[in-house]
Amino acid sequence: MDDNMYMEKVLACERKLYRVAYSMLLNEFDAADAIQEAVMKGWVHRNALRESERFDAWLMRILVNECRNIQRRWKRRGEPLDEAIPAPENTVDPDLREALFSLPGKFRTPLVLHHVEGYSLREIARILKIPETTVKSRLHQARAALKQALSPEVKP
Amino acid sequence: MKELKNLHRAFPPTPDFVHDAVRSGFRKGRRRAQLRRKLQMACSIAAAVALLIGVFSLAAPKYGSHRPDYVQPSVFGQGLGTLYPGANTRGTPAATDLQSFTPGSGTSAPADTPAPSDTPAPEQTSDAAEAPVAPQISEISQATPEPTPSPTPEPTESSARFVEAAADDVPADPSFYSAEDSVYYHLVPDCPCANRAVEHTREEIDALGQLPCPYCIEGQNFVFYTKGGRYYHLDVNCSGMVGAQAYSLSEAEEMGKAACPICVWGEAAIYSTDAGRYYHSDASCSGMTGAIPRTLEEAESLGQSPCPLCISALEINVSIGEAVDYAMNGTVSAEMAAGYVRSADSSRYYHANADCSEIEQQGQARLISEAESLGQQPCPVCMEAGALGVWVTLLDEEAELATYRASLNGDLLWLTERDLLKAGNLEKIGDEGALETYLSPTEQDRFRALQGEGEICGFRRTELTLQRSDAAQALAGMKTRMEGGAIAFEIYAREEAEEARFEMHTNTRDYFLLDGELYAGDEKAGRMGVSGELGEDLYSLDGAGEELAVRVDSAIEQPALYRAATYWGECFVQARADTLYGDLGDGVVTLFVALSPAAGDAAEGEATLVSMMAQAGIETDASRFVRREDGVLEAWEILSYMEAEEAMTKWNMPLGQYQTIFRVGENFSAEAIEVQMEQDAGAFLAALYQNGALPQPFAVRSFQETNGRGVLDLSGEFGEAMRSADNAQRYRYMGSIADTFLLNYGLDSLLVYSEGESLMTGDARYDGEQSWY
Repeated sequence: MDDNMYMEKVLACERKLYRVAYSMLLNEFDAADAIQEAVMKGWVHRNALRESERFDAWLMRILVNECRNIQRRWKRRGEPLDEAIPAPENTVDPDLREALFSLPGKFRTPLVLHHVEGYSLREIARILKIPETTVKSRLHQARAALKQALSPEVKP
Repeated sequence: MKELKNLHRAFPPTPDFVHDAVRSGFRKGRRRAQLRRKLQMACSIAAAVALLIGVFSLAAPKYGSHRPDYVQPSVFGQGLGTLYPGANTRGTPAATDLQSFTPGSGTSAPADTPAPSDTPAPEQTSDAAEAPVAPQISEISQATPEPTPSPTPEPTESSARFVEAAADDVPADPSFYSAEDSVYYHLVPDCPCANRAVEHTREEIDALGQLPCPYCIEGQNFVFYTKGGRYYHLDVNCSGMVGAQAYSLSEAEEMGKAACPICVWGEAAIYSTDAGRYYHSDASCSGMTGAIPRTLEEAESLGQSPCPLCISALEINVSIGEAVDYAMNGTVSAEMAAGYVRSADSSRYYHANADCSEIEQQGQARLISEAESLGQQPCPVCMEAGALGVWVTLLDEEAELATYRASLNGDLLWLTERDLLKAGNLEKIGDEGALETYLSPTEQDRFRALQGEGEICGFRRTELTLQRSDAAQALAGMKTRMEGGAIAFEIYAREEAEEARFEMHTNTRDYFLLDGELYAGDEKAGRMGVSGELGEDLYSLDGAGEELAVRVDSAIEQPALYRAATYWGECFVQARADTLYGDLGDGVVTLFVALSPAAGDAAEGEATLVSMMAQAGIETDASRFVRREDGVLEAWEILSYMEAEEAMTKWNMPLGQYQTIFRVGENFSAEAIEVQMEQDAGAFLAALYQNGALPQPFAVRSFQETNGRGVLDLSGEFGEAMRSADNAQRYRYMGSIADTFLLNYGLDSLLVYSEGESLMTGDARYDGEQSWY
């Protein structure tokens, strides 16, 4: 894969990368850092990718690893890991945003990967390195939690 | 649950620093890969060195004293396949070769490893049988700690082939090869360091007093060169070279490096007189007489240093500040004062330019400080304050370290008055031939200064470096001749060049004709179809001593725009403000060439040529013209610098203003395009559209520039177009606009609005300041 092709593919999935990184890190600057690292490592190891049509999932897996690295650094530095809802930003649907980002990370990430980015359960299992059944279970719980968070009865 | 379908609405738009992060990650990845390659190289070299130490530690006690003649054949006999690039071009010792090494035995099979079937065993050779060496080996083995047996004793097919080849290469009575005036002798006639080598016996070699070749005999499986250097060296300190790093020979050749005439060829390439201050590569440099050939050591033992004129080895590192000062003001700092000038002892002035019209006697090159100690003053013509410029070249890591490398004499272009911009070579040479543009503050400052005087002076130097393999591949479709390892090129007319769409380069200089465009120091030369033999080596291509014709032809696309190239194609003359002419190494003349267009209506072109010359005040009598063989009418003059300066003012005819716009293309790199237009924001947008950089000519609502920060407000159509574009298209649109405005207005950053608001595209936002793409 040459430079241009790689850059083309990265640019094509830039939005996906941002959404997933943001959903894991809840901070756009950390998300940018993770994307930068992922793009860098992807370029260095691009020859390890055997099936170019799986580029998205491959890069996504690198990105998820980078996000986890950043989360680990948070832990080492003693930064709070409480997943407070980030400050409201310029989103189309603030309620949905609040509900989504109030979910625990282990539910939110599979939800985003499946319902926003369209990855299959098998692909998500590979990206997150968890069993497929676990993905299924977490998705189920995530949907239930999201539904509850969006229901008017539980909203203050 | 319908919310699941709209889950993407929970996310904010992608901030533009994410775009930057992607680009930055990409660049970091490339740097990381480069570092890895270097690390691998270093490991290879370390392994080779460790191995050689091991080999010699075994061989030295055995043969060092009483079998001196046998040492080199034995090393060569075992290691040739390893040490010679043909066997291992990566510079990494081959395991099979090393395992099969047995010092002194004359074969490749260690005692505790089975000998390859095709290789005669040591005891089968007469030499080995007669030599008292084999038993000593076993004694050493017993007396010293048990060496680790080879883990792979089974000979592979390749190792067997190698052993066979090595055995074939070493005769029982080895011959040596060298030229009589060489420093080194060789064991193989085609050693890359062997030039004009003939066969000699050992006695003859001893009589000649030559040294063993570090490459093919001593097993120095690497050479040295600096990134900007023209040669590769066997001596890491050759000619006072600093900063050289070790590479394999194949890499050096891939980089287009030629063998150093001093430390590789070992020719009598150094000349000096007994009392001379410098040693020279040219025996008659500056009219010198009485110089005799010497070795480098001899010259250095006499306290002589490289001649600044014929051995342009003077490179000094200066800080950005110094480079800027030097380029802008001609201020010579303590370090830069190492520059050389020319004057005679009795001169009143010292000169930067050997061809200065004010020069009274040719004089000699000396340091500025020396000239001043003689009471001499800067020449008011060629050393006028502000009249000096320096190429500042950013190379890879150097660019990142913000260390500018400036060199005098070699790369220094002497400027006259305010005509030219030379301050800052603005192109970073990418890793693999890709060009990345870096604009230095120097250039922007210079631009402003010149524009402030109402003149346009945009000149950038572009270097395109391709890997040798790439160039070699491109040669397939070319009419080339390969003689003596050098490449000669046919001379093409522009149409032919375009049709051929080939690339070319020389062995010694990085000139390429790429897709019909010449990259020989001037990116604007893309409109020229130029070819010809370039480079000094090509002079002696013909074994019979016949010199090939060397010239650079040019054809002019725009009849009103005259361009010319000097002998080497390094110097260009254009009949408008951003004109370059200068001294280029041996170019003591400024050559003005005007050609009638080779394409189109020849008669019209010739009429234009005559008209232009008349308008410029140049006489148009018949003696000025030459009808070339290809029918093109050529007129030329050789002018001194003063004359050239004077003439330039005449040649600067009002051809309209030219601006440079950038079109970010499919490969995400910005292509510079010259457009004749006024400097106006709206005109830039229109020009970008006309050149395919934008989908439509967006209207400019306003453009403001304050302290290097620009704010460009475009119509709502721009926002619409960006929203309907994909990521790659947005990158190109925004990159083209940003780069164009940053360059032409000398901006540090640019904010781009649509209808007075930050641009939102649904999944991205562009509310940050745009920098260079």
